Amino acid sequence: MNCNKIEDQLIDHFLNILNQEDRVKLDSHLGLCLKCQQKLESFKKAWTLLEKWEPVIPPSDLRQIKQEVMDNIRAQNLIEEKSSKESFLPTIESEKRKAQIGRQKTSKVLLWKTIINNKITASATAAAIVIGILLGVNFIVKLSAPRVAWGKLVERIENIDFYTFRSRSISLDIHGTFVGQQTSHFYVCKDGFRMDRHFPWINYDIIQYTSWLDKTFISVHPEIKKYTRTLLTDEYINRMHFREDPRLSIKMFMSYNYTKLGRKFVDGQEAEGIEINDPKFGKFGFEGCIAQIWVNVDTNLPVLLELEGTSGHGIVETKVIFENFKWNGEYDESIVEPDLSEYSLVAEVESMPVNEESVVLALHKFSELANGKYPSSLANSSATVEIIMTYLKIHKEKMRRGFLFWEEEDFDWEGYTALHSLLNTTCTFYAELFNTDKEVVYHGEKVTADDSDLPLMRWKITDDKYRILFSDLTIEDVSAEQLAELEEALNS
Amino acid sequence: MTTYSDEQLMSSLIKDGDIEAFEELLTRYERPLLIYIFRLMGDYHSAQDLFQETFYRIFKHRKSFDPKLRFSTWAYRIATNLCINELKSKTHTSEMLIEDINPGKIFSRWPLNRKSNPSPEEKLIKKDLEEKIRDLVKSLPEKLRSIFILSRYQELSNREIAKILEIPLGTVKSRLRQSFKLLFKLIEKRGLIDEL
Repeated sequence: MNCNKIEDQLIDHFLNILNQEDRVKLDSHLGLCLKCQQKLESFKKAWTLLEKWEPVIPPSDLRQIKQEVMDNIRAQNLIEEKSSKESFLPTIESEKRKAQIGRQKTSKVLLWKTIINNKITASATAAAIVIGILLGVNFIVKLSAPRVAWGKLVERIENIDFYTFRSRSISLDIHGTFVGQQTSHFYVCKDGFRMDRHFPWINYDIIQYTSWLDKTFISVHPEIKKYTRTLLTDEYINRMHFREDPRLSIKMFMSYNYTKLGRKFVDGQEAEGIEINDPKFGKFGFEGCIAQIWVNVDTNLPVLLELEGTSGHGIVETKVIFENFKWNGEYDESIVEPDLSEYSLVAEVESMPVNEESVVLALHKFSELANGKYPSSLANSSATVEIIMTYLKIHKEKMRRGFLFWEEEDFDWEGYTALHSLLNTTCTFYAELFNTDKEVVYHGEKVTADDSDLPLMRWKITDDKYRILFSDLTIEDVSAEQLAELEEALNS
Repeated sequence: MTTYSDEQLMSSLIKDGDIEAFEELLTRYERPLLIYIFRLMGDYHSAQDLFQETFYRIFKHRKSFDPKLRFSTWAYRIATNLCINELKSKTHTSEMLIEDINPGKIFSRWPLNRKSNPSPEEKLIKKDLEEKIRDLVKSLPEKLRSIFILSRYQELSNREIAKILEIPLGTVKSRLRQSFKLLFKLIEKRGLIDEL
């Protein structure tokens, strides 16, 4: 055998692509040729050397990457779901909008009832399969299975001392573009709660501790070792308690009329669901909202809570999912008490009372920052995102890494923290007017600080009087006729 | 969930929109695909981005998945195409890229395998060696590099590689041979044989 040909065959031997006939020839040649034996040894060494490259990925990286991929996929899925619905165009009038959402959601319920009552699909199992196919969910109905005692749900969850859960939210505007997306882990106990928030769109984490005892809200930025503190008033604590503890939300949901949804498996647990779709139901930081609660049929405790809400006159649609509930888990105090020894306090503000003065101040501060623009919506879900978006715009040019304006050395922490607190107060003020049928309307998407005499916000104060907050942030009380004239000017 | 084949999970994703099936596929392929992309790109940060893009495309184009293919073939194909396009779009030459990379930075995020509990000295030596191998593989032209990595490190069969890259089996073999020849020359030239 020719030594020049051997090189290829030696390589083929390592690559495991040498046929049997050539292998025999190679072996017999190697037995006779010292030069080729030396070549073989060198190849062996090189082959072994190349084997020594074994990158190991830290498990924490794997978890984070997976989380980011799934967040994006769920958002993409939501966009696809939306684009497949033919009637998603938003309507300006809130009643129309709520009715529209009602139609979309009720259709699933109707479908369920239709199939259950259909003689052809009278078998519960068949119905479950059909629904499963139509909705992309695995429904299984056991005729003799335990049932959820819905009437006792509130009492059961109120007796829980410590629990944890995860929430995911995705906000999209009318074009299906992201305006906000985050995941959070919550740890709730009787003294307060902790929220670990992750913003996948800017890859940033914030941990927030709320203590009912200390009356503080602490926002920790682990990456830059900084934190801010907001001192809370009792009035604010009551409202916050309601907003952040899903037990209270569930309690409120259960006071509305609901429709039973049947059963499905949630995280491997058999659960029974209900849907709340009352036109008056919208207190969860949204203007219009539909909620579904799924409860484990064995433990009778919630396993999944889903909210779908609109805000900003239908401009923003948000979906929030509360899942991975662990009720009465092991309570470790350090979970809800921050160790701030290595962190520096960069801002401390006090929460403002929920009144007109705070609203005026919040809108003034926001417009100063946003070149005369006001927040387009006063729904909590989108206003927070608007603050971040506004800061992003301001800091876009000097940002070092992605969007992280928080990292800048000269960042105005006081102003940022105060604006957050103020706008939160403003959203609460707006939500309360909305929920007490005060005919509140906010025109932030149309009106700027540069406009003269245009109504920015209005609400009813007596049977025939309305209070108007004008574009220059002055306040005036007007009659219904005067209001109509002013709003006509706005529309023209 | 783990009892289902990759292809059954794909079918569940396509027909029922089952996101959990997608999540299971992601769990199964996260580690091997991310390591593959890292080896191909030689840069962990690009690898993370391209990995995410790969799975985004898998989801977005799920309906165009050819059921005659294995899921792994399709996933590796998407990842390879994305990486090759990315490599082509870079204006620097391979050599310049190697110079640009700060290996300390990359490898600080890639702890060495702890199973064997190496001493600090051993760790340093291994890290240094891994960087040298990474540079070697990165010196291969793109066409050869993907084939070599798929074969040597991802341990895929030549037939599978041919399907992933949509080239004849004979081409896979000849390119594998060519890549080893080039690597061997470089190993000799850089005196790395004696490192073992």
